[in-house]
Amino acid sequence: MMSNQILFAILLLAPFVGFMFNGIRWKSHNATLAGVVATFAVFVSFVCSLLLVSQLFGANAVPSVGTRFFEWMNVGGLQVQAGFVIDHISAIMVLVVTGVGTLIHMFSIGYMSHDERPSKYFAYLNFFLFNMLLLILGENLLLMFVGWEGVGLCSYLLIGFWFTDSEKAAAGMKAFITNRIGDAGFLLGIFTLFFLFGTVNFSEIIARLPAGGIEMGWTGPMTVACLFLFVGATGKSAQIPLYVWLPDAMAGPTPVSALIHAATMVTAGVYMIVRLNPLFLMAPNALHVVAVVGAATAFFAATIGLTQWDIKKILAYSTVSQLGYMFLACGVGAFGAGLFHVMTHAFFKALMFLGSGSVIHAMHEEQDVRKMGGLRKYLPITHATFFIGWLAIIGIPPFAGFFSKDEILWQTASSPLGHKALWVVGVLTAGITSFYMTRLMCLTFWGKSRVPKETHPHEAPPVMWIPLAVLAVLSTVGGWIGIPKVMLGGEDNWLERWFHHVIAPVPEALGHAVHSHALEWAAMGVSLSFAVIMACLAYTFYVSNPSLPGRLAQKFHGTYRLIYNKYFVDEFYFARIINPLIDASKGLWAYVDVNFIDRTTYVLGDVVRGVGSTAKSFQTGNLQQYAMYIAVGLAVTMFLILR
Amino acid sequence: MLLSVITLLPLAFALVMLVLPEKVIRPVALLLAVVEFAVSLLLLTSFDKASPAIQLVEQIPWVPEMGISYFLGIDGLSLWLVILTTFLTPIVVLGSWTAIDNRIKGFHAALFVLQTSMIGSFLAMDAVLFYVFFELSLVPMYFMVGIWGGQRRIYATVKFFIYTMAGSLMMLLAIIYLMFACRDTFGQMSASLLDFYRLKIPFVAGEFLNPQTLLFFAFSLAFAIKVPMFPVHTWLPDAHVEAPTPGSVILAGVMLKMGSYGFLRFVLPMFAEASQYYAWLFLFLGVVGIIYGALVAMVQPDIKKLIAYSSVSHMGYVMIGLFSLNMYGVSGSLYQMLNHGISTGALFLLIGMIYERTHNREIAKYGGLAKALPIYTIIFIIVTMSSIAVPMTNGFIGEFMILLGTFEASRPFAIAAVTGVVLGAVYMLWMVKRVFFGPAGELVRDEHHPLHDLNARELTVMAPLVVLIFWMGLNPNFFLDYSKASLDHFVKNRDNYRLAVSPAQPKLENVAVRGEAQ
Amino acid sequence: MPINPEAWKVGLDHYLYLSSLLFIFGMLGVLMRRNVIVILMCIELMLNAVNISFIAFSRYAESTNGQVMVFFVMTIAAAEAAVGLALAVTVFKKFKEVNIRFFEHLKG
Repeated sequence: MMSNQILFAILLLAPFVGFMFNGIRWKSHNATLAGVVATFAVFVSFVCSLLLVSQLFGANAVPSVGTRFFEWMNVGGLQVQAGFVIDHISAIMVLVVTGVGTLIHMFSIGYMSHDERPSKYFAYLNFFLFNMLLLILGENLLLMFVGWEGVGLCSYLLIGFWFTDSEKAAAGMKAFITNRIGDAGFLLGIFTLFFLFGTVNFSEIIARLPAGGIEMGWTGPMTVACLFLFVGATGKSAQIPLYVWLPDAMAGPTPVSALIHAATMVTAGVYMIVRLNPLFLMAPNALHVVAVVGAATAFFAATIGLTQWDIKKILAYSTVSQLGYMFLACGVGAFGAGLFHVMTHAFFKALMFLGSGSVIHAMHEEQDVRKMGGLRKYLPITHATFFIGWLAIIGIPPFAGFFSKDEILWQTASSPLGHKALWVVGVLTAGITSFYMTRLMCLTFWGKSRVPKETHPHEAPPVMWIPLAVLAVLSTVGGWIGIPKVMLGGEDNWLERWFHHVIAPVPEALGHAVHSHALEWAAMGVSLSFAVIMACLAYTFYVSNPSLPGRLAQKFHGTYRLIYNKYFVDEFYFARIINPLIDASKGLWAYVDVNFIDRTTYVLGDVVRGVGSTAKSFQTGNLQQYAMYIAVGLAVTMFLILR
Repeated sequence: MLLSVITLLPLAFALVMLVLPEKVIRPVALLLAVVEFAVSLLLLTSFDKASPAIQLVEQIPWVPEMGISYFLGIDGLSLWLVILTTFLTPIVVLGSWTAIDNRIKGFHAALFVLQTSMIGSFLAMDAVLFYVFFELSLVPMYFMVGIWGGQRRIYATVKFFIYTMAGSLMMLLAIIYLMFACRDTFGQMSASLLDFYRLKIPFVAGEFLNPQTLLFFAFSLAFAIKVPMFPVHTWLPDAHVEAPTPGSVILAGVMLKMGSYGFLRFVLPMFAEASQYYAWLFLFLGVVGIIYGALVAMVQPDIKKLIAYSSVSHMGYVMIGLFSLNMYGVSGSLYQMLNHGISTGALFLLIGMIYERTHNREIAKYGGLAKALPIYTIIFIIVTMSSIAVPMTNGFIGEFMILLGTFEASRPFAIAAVTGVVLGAVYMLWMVKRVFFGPAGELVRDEHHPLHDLNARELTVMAPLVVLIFWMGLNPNFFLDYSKASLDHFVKNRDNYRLAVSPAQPKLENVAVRGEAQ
Repeated sequence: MPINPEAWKVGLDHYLYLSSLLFIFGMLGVLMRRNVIVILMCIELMLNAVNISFIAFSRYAESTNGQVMVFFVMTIAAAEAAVGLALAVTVFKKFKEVNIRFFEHLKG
């Protein structure tokens, strides 16, 4: 049995070695070699994490496995170890990330086979995974922050992977900068926590939480810390108001969107909140903010998803919306449900993104769904897997999405931190999700083909469809670990038991949860039937009666335009924040630096020069005048002395 | 002996430069600079990192009547700055291999004189000696900008000289005042810093006209101009833009640190009450500098000017770290000084390399460089990441500790300073986007002058910098350990700061620190 | 009218009056005349005025110090006259005139 330290080292370093391998031979065009090495590296990580996670099971189960490599920073009271830990929370994340990561790497081998720089791509992808593992496994906030910024950097590099296109490079930049705003908040959160608890270590912070010291106001240190951290989460996890980067991030290669911008990186914010769940439970007001922002984002992004034509943009807005769900779950104190949704979402959204990658690949880089349709007969496997993903996301039992989404909605309704209004928003969002996802299915796979004649879609090679198939299986069975209590006859499901020690229940001081089986069945029925109705409606709109949506858009022209243009949020940011900032900076440069400070110093210089030129006029060169000065000076001196 | 050797060896090298034939100047200069670096590394072995005292002390009376002596010593505050200086010099020599093509004799001589003056000011433990070295550094830099500089070099060099000179005259007055204060307190004039530390200078809170406040501002003005702090920073962009690449590297890499080091060595410990009382002012100006520098950098059309303004922003971090007056902030500042030397030095070198190829620095004329010069791009992006403080690079450690310290000292200022984290990313990445990404720009697609990627020499120049960027980011303890004792002593005893002379030094019986008896 | 021998006796003050008168004449000449030769002569006059007061003081103080000083002054006057005349000659050679305004180029 290898020691845990070695296992951790391999787990972390395998992707790094892959990164170095591909990074050094970045000029190589050999996609297969690069891809296989990269995939293998991630697979090694997956195996290591399985071995480590297995120690949490069974008779000799330990609450967590961890190791420390070296002391990273030691200044004053701040001691930061390069230490890593797998507990019941990070176990799920690490398995999802390395597992789904392996599949996406594998998919990439096919997807990037014709690219100019496949080695560079795989190097970045492996480096991303390395950073993601730091983020997940780091035992303290600082290591998490290292990974947090590291994944942001990789995201920047991968979004701008095809950098010769100015727009793609700009999208990468936008992602990085928007994330940086969040990161600034995260930093402030770290500072607040450090000065509050004297440590940045997760387990120590949680151990030092004041017992029963729930902060009710807005200005308590824990509330402030939680809000700062949540700012970080809104950046990384694309919540209002910082979500704008994620749709643009679709400029990157599609597997990147699947891995980074759907399955793993963007869920980091949720993961961070879950990791600190006892802390957040101390600050109910912060949780309310989380819940409201989450619900608002979920709804808001879903409506934008209704009108988009780019297959990846639709999925991107769907991702933003689903992330909103996860925050909603956290906000109502259902952290387990939030993490559960992270997992199922990773399965089905990765599946759908890879499916869309397969479609785009087949359509020769075409992303507009208006030019697709009827692809079912060309891409049977992709269609089948996408179909499962569709069932999962709209929440049809027994597919994965149903269980996690239902758990979130029920907790929203029943938790003492939840609210009926939030539940209504959640259900509405579920309906809209169902509508636009069905729309996507109809426009892409079903109905009449609108494929241009010169394109000949073809099914993907096995290296691409095998990951799809595996993900489809996971999207089907992945939710079964969290079957609601009412269905199991009142017994706790596996997930409940798994999270038992690491996720704190909502403190009793905040109120009591509603327990009513009838109500739970009813809520489930309402949301399910609503989703099905919306799906049928979408089918009617886009397959049976394809002219209807156009007419509706005509009729509600203003609203449609507003939503189609994403509520003009980007335009608003440009007009009200970015451009004024640039203008102000130019003003500062021209007026403060050049015209004010420099002018002021010139004035000082001019004074000196003026005095000089006045003095200069005495020095005419006329010797007799000088003699006169001497004489007068002498006379004055004599007078003064002899007076 | 070691300190004198390190200080004066470059001066000897400068003389060697003058007698050598032009042909061999460059290789010999490189060799000598490397020798100097190797000698300075001996410091790491003979330095006792557990002791906060000044070590390896050398003291020879110079003007005994006034208590001025040739007094060198080193402690954790100055150790890394000295090594940074000796480290950057060979890099600059190699980096200017082709950039400087006329009067190379004079250039290298000036470079070595500059090195002596910089090392001297970091090691001097005597205020007058410090002043001599501090001012001496202006002369070679004046010629460096004035002779090998760009179009408006005379304007820039005069501006640089007068700004710095104006500030340091105030400091000279203050030093003279302190020397007389020593006479009044200890019975004999002294310019030794150790004696200065022991002075009790009267301070009245809230009033401007009292000795400590006036001295505090006199010193602060001199150093603030050197740093440079907002609003006395405007010499820097001009000097940087007009300076030749090696001049910019030395200027940004080391000379600016003479200012922040001055704060650390003189202002904060000597005028403890005043610096505590006026800390808010410097925190404010530092934060304004961070934001202002970043905003103005954002809209610069010239790459080099952009980096120059980014220096204003980065040095703003150093200042708020120092004036947070706690362990985190001060350690972070010291670290950030080194970081800034390395990352901004590297950026100037990189800009020099591209300037040699295209003779243009206008951002708008670039674009798509990443495709034309991939290796150059990789290195540039690594350095950019260091500059915007991405974790695992050195920049993060410094910036994190500074912000942590500032947060402890004053939350509003910390929150304001954190916006610099965002703005830093904005101006750097926007520049990177416009220069490296997108379609090929005017200069890049010029078929008559195809661009070549970095050659072996240029890679050799950049390699040590890149290695250090990661080394300092991944193992900051190695660097911090040497300074920890001094910094700890500094922060804990600032109100009553004393520096002892390390007892482990031989031959110290006859070098009685004056005034000890009183 | 009886002659008061005391009133007619030449005393120190008379010498000093003479000396000052000569000095003032010399000074006015230096300040006002344009011709360099005349100016040099006026300087000579001023120096000799000083010499007179030296000798007078020397006589009345019964000390030879003043007379020694006079020798110095005379030597210097000679040297000065030599240099001054040389300059005047050079100026004359260049400008065909010895006007003082040709010396006006020395200015800031």
